[in-house]
Amino acid sequence: MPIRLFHAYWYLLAVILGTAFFLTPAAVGAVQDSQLPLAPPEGPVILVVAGNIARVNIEDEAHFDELMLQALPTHTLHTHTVVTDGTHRFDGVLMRDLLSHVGAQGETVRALALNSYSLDIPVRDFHEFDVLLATHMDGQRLRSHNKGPLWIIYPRDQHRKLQDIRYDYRWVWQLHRLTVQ
Amino acid sequence: MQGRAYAGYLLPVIAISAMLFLLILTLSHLTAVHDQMRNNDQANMTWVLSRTQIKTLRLQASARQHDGSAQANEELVHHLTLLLSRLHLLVEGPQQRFLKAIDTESELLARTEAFLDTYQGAVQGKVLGPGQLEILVAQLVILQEELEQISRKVMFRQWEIDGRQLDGYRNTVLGAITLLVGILFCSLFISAKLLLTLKRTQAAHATELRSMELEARLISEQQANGLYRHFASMMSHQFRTPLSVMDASLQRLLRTRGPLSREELTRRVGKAREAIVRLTTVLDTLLTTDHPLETERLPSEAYELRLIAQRAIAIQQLTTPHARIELKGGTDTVLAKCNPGMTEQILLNLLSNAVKYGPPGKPVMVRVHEGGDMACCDVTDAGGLLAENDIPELFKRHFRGVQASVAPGSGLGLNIAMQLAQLQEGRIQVGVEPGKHTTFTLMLPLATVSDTPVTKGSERSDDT
Repeated sequence: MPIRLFHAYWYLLAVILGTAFFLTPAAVGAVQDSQLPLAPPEGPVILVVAGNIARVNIEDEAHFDELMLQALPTHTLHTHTVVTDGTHRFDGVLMRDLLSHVGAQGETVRALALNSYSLDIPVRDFHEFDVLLATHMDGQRLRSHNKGPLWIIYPRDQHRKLQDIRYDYRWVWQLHRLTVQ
Repeated sequence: MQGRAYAGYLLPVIAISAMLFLLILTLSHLTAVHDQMRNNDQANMTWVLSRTQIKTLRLQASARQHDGSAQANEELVHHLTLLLSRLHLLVEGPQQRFLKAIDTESELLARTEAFLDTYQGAVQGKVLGPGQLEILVAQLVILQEELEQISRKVMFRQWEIDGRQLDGYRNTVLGAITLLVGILFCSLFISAKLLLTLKRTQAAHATELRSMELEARLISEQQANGLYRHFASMMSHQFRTPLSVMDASLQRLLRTRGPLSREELTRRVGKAREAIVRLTTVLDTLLTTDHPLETERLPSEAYELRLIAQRAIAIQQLTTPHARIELKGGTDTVLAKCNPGMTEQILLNLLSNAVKYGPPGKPVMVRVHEGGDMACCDVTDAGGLLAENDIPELFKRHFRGVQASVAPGSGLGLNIAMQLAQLQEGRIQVGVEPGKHTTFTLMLPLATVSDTPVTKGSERSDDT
């Protein structure tokens, strides 16, 4: 009986070690991935994230080109806007995904547009709602002579609370820089 | 009469309906304001135009200062990009509709679209030559003038819209206030009506209570009056038994021939004296209770019901020596809260009835026992002639049942018995098994431990 029990312990140990062996690379990989410095951008820079962030690639900022943004999980949103007619389809990256990707720590994000429009947005907006950093509208790439390269889109049709001018002015278009504070 | 009753409801029903109607109207008014307040479609217009004007001026400056360098070109393209973005906004649905509504003759939109068509390509890497720059500046000057003109109109329009919107809110809120005043009046009316009705109901209730109280008092007065009125007949009935005992003893004494021994004389005179004692007991009961007919003054002490029954049987035996009366049951003590004199009279009345109406030769059974919270004494005769229909009438004054026709009587005995029982918070129940037997049960309140049994029988009469 004690001998059998002894065998059972060995068996259990083997199973634990085996599981650990298979799981460890994935776990370590995940940890390393979020702690590694960002790869430098290869194409023209579309977005710069600065401020209190953990992952940077150029000096203390995170610079994103088109490909780097495309590598992040994409999200789609259908909503009206206050400056256009009808419902539109927007594709892009969730703000909270982007912020967690760069390891951002802060209460507000200062958004700066090409047209010098600047605004502080509370970070809790991005956790409360699926706020999108849109790259495409109705399947078309947003251009900088219209509302591109990036447009902050709130799910206005999905939440009655967002149908308010106090949220409408947070829809920053021609966005090109975010500073986490 | 019924129409009048409905008329009383008419006003309150109208008031309640009016209030509900006004409430619904108020709700719809407030909902309308709520929705209006969400509508801020046009709020951007002044800002959009001012930004477009600034971008136009910036691009103009950039084009005028252009020295042909790459840096100047880059700056020019940047400002052109920003202006194009603004112009794109102008030709989007909501902004376009707004501008068209303000000035149908304005060429701003057509000019904007043409400008967008011409220069969209320029921001995608094309370099503008000096000739093109002059054309650009000329176009921007015209665009600027148009923007300025329309800006003023937009501003006026915006103020008009704001004013009208505020008017709308004011009117709706004013309407809601008016409706609320109406609701207030309706609710005041309903409340007043309610309070008035409540007051009336309470007054009516008080009157009803008062009249019920008076009625109860009247009934008890009437009962007492009845008792006083029939006091004489009651007394004579109760005196009859002892008197007939005395009479029988004296007659027997008279009929005796020859000399009587001292013992015999003592025995016979003793019987007569016992009858006198009975009479004295009746009188004593009347005298010791100041007012024999008021229950409040009755002494309530514990007495052993069996002893009272034994005494009653003994007295009954004096008047009807041939009748067989048997006291049955166990020897358990049954204590009743009662007046012993009255209880004895009740039992005497029940016994004399049983002897009178029971078949001759058959014994009358007496049984003392407890029944619930009552001390009971059954007096059963083997008659069973009592008709079911007679039972409710049995205790009425001067009522005589079918079987009573065979014997003499006044129809007072049971009535007196019942009244005396009720005076002691007791009652008498009748049970008949037709053709077999009739049982009258005297029920008196069972004495509790607190009713200290001062005496265990009718000792008072023995002393007399």
